[in-house]
Amino acid sequence: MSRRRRTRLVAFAVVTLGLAVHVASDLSISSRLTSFLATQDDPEIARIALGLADSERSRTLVLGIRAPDPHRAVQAAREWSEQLAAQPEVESIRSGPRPELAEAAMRLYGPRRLLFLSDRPETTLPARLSDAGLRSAARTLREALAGPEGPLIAAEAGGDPLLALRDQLRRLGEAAGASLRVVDGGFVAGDPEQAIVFLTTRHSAFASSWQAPLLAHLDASFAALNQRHGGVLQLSRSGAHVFAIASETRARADAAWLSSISLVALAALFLWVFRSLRVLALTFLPLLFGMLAATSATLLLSGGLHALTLAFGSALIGICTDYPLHLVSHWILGDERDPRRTSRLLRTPIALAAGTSAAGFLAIGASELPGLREIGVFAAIGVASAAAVTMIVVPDLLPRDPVPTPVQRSMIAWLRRWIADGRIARWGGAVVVAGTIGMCLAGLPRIRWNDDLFALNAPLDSEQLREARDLQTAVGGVDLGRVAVAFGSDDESALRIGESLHERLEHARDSDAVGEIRSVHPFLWSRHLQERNWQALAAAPDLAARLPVAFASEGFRANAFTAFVEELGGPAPTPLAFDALLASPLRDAVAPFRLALDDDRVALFTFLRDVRRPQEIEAAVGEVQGALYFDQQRFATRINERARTRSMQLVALGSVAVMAMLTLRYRRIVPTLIAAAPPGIAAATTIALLALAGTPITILHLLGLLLVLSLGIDYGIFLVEARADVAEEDATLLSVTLDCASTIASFGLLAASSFPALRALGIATGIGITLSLLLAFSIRGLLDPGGVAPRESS
Amino acid sequence: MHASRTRRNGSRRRFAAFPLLLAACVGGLAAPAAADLATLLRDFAAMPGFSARFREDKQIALLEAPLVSEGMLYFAPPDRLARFVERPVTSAVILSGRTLRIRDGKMERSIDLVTTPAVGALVDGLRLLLAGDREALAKLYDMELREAAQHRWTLRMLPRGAPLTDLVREIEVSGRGRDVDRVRVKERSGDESSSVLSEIDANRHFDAAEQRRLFGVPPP
Repeated sequence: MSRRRRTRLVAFAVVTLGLAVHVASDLSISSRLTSFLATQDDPEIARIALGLADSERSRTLVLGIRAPDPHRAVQAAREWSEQLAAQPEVESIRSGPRPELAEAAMRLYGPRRLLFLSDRPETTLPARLSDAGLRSAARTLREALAGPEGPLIAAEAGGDPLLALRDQLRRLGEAAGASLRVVDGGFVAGDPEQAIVFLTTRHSAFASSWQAPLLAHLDASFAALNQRHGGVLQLSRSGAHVFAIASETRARADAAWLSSISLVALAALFLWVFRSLRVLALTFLPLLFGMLAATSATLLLSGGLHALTLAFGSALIGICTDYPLHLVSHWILGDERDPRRTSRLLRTPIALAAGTSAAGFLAIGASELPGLREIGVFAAIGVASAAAVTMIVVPDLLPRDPVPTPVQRSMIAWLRRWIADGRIARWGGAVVVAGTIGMCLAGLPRIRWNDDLFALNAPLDSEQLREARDLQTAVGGVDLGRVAVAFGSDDESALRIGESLHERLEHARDSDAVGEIRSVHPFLWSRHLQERNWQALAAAPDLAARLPVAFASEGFRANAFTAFVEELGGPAPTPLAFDALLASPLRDAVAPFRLALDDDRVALFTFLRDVRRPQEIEAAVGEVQGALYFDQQRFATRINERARTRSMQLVALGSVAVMAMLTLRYRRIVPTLIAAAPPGIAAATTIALLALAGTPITILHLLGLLLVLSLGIDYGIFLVEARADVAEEDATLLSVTLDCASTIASFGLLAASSFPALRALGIATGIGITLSLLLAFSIRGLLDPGGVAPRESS
Repeated sequence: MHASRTRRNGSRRRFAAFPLLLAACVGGLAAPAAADLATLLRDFAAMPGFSARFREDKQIALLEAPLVSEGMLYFAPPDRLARFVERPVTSAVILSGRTLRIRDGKMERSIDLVTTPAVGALVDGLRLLLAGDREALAKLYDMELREAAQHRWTLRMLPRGAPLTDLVREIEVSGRGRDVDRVRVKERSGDESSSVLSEIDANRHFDAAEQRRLFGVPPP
């Protein structure tokens, strides 16, 4: 082994090891779909989507424990919560109300009760504070004193004859939801009753590297808990974590069995054709290096890797087996006996093939969807690295003095007979090209697009979904997918916009357009609204004198309300502020409604449940300046539609760049067409066929077609570049045919996946790549039927 | 967030409702001819169930005249108690295990006694009295039984410590022989309530359907 060769191999080993160590230590995989949401066209909505995806609500798992009786369930929940609290991924866990809440609520609202009299003080307070209104208030107070809460009311009534504190505390109670009850100090909900535990994780629900171990621990620790309780406990779970991990597990399982079949098929094919394990290993070496390099670079650039990048980026890099296959075929079948000279001879076609593929991927890398950008960059880096390894490292590892196997000879003879025979090539080519163009004409006008981003994910397990829905219904959970948002430069302005929003949404709720609205409104009003309450009290003429008289007429002592009268004459209480609530035990109740934006603004959420007429809600929200209606699914679909259009434009732009590169290289129309036309027609025909079959086209079909374009271009380039020499052409015919077969065995198999995204990629790739090779041979036969004369020895 | 529990729980001084409940309940007990406290409590413990009609007069400092209410009281050992007010406005307070439910018009709220120790102490006092659990009751109250002529007796219950002492000054249960005919609760605020019971059934048995109807839960 020469010193230079040894140095190259050692350097390659060191670089590979370094990349492997980096990937192993820093690999973090996320599966959140918001990575596929744009941030440029709708920055406000994208911020909200991202904020919600990482919000405390989204990070909270709801766990329901059922037992023969609620007391036992609560006891088990408490015991389990104490254990789970020690888990590092658990940020907080609650199985019951905080005991200090009562005192905190009294402390915060008691002195400020008169600032929370009415959220429309100018409209309602004049009537309430009139003589008739005061007499009515006196009757209400008397009834309340006679009721079960009478002693509670009596303790405060001297300073609160208008029952402002009781009403405010009732608003808090309603906001907390009647769904949750407290038994033995623990939350209980549903029918039959189950104990409820709220577990908030430190990391995103979609950060599988954190959530998968946590969910596994939950299962294991619950099993142990259940055993201690005699096996009578049942667990139900709800939360994005559950579905994210289930989805990922399913994707992994699909990928595992599909890749196993694929690997076996590829190994069998290569061993049958080459009869060499070394060739088999060399074919995959650039691919593996490309994967490592792309993963490492993406981790450095993005700080993490999306599961879809790993899946689809790896699929795209799959075209890299093309390069070593081409090199090996030329080495075995060519006349050259020095592998480095063979690699030099192939430098141009491989560089051109890799360059055109990378250009296509980089075009996708310019997409506004962060997820697609990541896939594009990942694939471009992978392809470039694999091509470099093919040219630099693989020649040093090629077998010495190779001899073509009988299978190779037979294959080449067969291919020559069909491809290089002028008459067959011309007529066969004409039929194939005319057929595909005919299919395009018939199918392309029937294209239907499916831009629903969520349709790409695997359908959720119906049992798991039902369990989660039941649990969410039991605890009165909200739908994070439909939210009205009030934006403000600070809390005060956001609260004021939120108040306008609340008024309109209340009307919408009253008209049944929405079932339930949840916002910070029951907990906090803007400083402005609180001050308006005080002003309305102060504006009521002679209130201090009239109130005792009105109440006396209903049987109250004349001096019973001295405290109230004295407070009216004093200074206004300091309005309650968001900061005070966030610093109090009520933080858990109000924090989920607030999002501090990175531009120092504040967004306040109003969560909507059972939205029955979304257009009316959108219209109501649209009336409020500074407010926005967010429908996650509709937003994702709209963004995806725009991204799909933009991606197609980028692919078209990439194709123009590829055409320019090919034109520069060949400077003649025929070789340029032989190289470029097959993948273009194949991609169009694939879409047409899918349209004729009634399959809506998704962005994943387009991604598959990008793979077809990249590979198809390689076939064309290799065929054109091999036209000068018979041995080269033989090697090329063999390598592109084998590559097509291996692509079908790998990506085409994805069509059997249960994942809609993987299935779409597999179908598009399988059909497209077959057509691409067929068209490459056909168009070459049509435009250049003579080719290179066959050698007798072949 | 569970501010509803917060509100329902209130501050300690807000639990004065429960001495009244206690008064109403205790007032209905059909007492034996008690020679001493131990005998009295032992006989209470032997009751299969209890029901009575009550009339309560509440003296509140805010009002010129007392508030009068009437209704029915039910107790099923060991821990179920329901007080239904029929006049002047309907309402209900129902204790079942460690949960207290308050129904007022269309609104219903529940209080978990585990998380509200003050209410828990008050209701426990009542429950323990009805159960005749002298030992546990003695931890909450100092008790003094006075006998008078013609088998009349009066049981004074003085709270031993916070949070009861913040709310209640004294509870006085009076009776003759086995009948309890008056319960007075003097609150720390100065307010006072007095309950008189009639149509007493100290041997009341509740079937499963009645338990569900009155206490909202099936029998234990």
